[in-house]
Amino acid sequence: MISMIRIDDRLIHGQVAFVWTKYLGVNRIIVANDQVVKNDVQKMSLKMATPDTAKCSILSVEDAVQVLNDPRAESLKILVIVNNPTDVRRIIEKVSNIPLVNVANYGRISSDLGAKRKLCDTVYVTDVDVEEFNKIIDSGMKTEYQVVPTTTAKPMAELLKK
Amino acid sequence: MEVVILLLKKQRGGDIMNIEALLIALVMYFAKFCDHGLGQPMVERPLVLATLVGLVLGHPTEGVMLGATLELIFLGTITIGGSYPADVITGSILASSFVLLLGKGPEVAVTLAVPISMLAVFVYNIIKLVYTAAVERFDIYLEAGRDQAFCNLQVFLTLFKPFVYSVLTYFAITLGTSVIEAVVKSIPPVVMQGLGATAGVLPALGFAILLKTLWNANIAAFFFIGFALVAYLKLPIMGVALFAGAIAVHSCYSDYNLKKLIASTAGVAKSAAPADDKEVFFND
Amino acid sequence: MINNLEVAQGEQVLVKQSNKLELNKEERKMINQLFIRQFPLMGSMNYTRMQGQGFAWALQPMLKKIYTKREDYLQALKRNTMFFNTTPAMAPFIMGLTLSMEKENAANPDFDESSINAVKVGLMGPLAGLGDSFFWGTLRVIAAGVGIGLSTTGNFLGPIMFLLIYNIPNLLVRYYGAVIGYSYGGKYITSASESGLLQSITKAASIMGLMMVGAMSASMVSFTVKYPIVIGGAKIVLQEILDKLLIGFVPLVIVLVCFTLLRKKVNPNWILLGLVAFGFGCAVLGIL
Repeated sequence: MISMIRIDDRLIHGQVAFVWTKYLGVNRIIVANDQVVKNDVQKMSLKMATPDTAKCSILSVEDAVQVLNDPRAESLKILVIVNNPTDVRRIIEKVSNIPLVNVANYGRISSDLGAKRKLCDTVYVTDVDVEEFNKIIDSGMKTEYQVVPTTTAKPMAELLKK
Repeated sequence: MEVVILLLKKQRGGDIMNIEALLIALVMYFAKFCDHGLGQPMVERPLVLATLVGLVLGHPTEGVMLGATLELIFLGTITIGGSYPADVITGSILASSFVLLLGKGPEVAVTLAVPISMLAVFVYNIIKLVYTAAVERFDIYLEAGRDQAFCNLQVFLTLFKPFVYSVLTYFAITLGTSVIEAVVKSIPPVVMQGLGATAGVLPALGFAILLKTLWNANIAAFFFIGFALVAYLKLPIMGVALFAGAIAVHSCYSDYNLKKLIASTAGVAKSAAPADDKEVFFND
Repeated sequence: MINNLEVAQGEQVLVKQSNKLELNKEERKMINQLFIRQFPLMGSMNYTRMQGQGFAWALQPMLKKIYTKREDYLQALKRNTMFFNTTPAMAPFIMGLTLSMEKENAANPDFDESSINAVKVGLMGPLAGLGDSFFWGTLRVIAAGVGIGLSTTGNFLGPIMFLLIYNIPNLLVRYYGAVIGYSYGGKYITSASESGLLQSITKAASIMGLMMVGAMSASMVSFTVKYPIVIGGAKIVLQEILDKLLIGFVPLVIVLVCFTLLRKKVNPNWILLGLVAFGFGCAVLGIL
């Protein structure tokens, strides 16, 4: 079963490796990204960063969808990590029973922040991103902004209204 | 200048208090500088900071012991990735300063440190906002090709942040000590007892937080081994550390050798077909 | 020095010519300078670039040397102010790697500049995961365990051991991280991860961390009589009974209860209040 999909442009890092995996109690992490899956160095370092308690698989978005729809996935506890809302939308279109979309860090890594709209300290979006988020929310998905589990989660819809 | 000195002398406690406040402010500068200027070398943790405060206030041994108490309380509080759940530095320095200046016990330190550390986060957030505004300045310098100005700004900001805290600390000590004294005096002895008891059990939360991050069913037994070593064998902590270190090194070697063994026996098969993430996802 | 570019499947793989860690005198000097400059990485910490400006500042003098043309140097400097955030001790590895890539970029007009930032983005996350777990979660716990244990009696060795145990690995990782990042770069990560050495080290460190937390739970959670109480006789018997059952029974239970609650995702602040109430309750009832 899928615990949640997280949007984090740094994929697996301190907050994820150290905090979220333990909090959710997952034993599988899927990094779904069409670029990273082609980069050996990045794949290796992501696997190194994964804590012992979970196994990490780096897959293209399509492969991730296939794996998540496999009946064997039910008995596993899976955290899916992507680095943009478009990939989330692509996944939820083809995979059901995802309980939560978690938005954490997105948009600060690109160089042109001026062209983006700031939703909060760690999320900056373009118009395309807003469209994708709206599609995700409109599909009925519980979509929340929460960087670490000790802070209160805010519905993404609220952030988008600003 | 004379006006400033007159104002300083007018404050309660007179000259002596001001010198101590100055010294504590210096400790604060050093601590905050180490935090972001030296990449967190753990000098900025309660254990060291309370010791330093103890040294400058002339109560070194009490400082060390306060440091131990405060470190236990804040053991689970970590500041990584720019997140600041509590300002451990400000909490520890101010709490230990007040306690040592007023001659109170460790339970007062704990009672003060926790709320102070939470309140001080506001200061951090404000500074971070200001520094975020400075990003534009950095970019402007680079656009204009002023690399030296860029570097100077970085250095300035690094040196300025600790200074802000120092100034606040100075005034917190000179103006706050009498206030704290009054508050503490008004605490009934029953409550003091309660605080003392609480200070004794609070570390358990810190340990639980750490346990949560370290816990792994495979090696969970070692938690109980460590526990038993102290509870029954009454081993001093250094002894446990040596024991733990030896076991850790042994585990590392045998684990790694086992991996090498597996890799060499499976060597042929492995190099022929590199494990596909998609296929092995469901294997244990 | 990296002086070979292999293009495989549209992706640039940086391969080192030799496998040895050789640095010539000039490179040694550069690494030493980097070691000094990497410390104030978080000096201008902010929300939008985080450690970005600190990263660029650290590399500034080397970039000036690498790029002979001023515009290239300024562009490189600007490029390196991009968003950056990782465990401070792991940053030098990425800095060394960046320097070797910048050198390659300066020497080779066909080098894809955008790959430099791509590598930084790709590495900062995972290295932060590794670094945070190791430095904050394990090494610090071990150092604190020893330090606190010695400090409770006012022994100055406490804070000193705390700093030593933490900083010897801290400084070694920073210095050699820079050396390895510069010399080996990405290849190091591949070989290290394949050998599984890192997992073994992490597991070993966790074992040590767990033992220290266990030891501290026994000695540093105070639940013995502190204040004389009215019902003197009855209370003393209670402590004896508890001790016969299991020495340190109550501290262990308290720690494990908190642990279980945290696992059940109870907010730590509630647990904190609960402990405060517990402490007060025991004091009032005269148990403590």
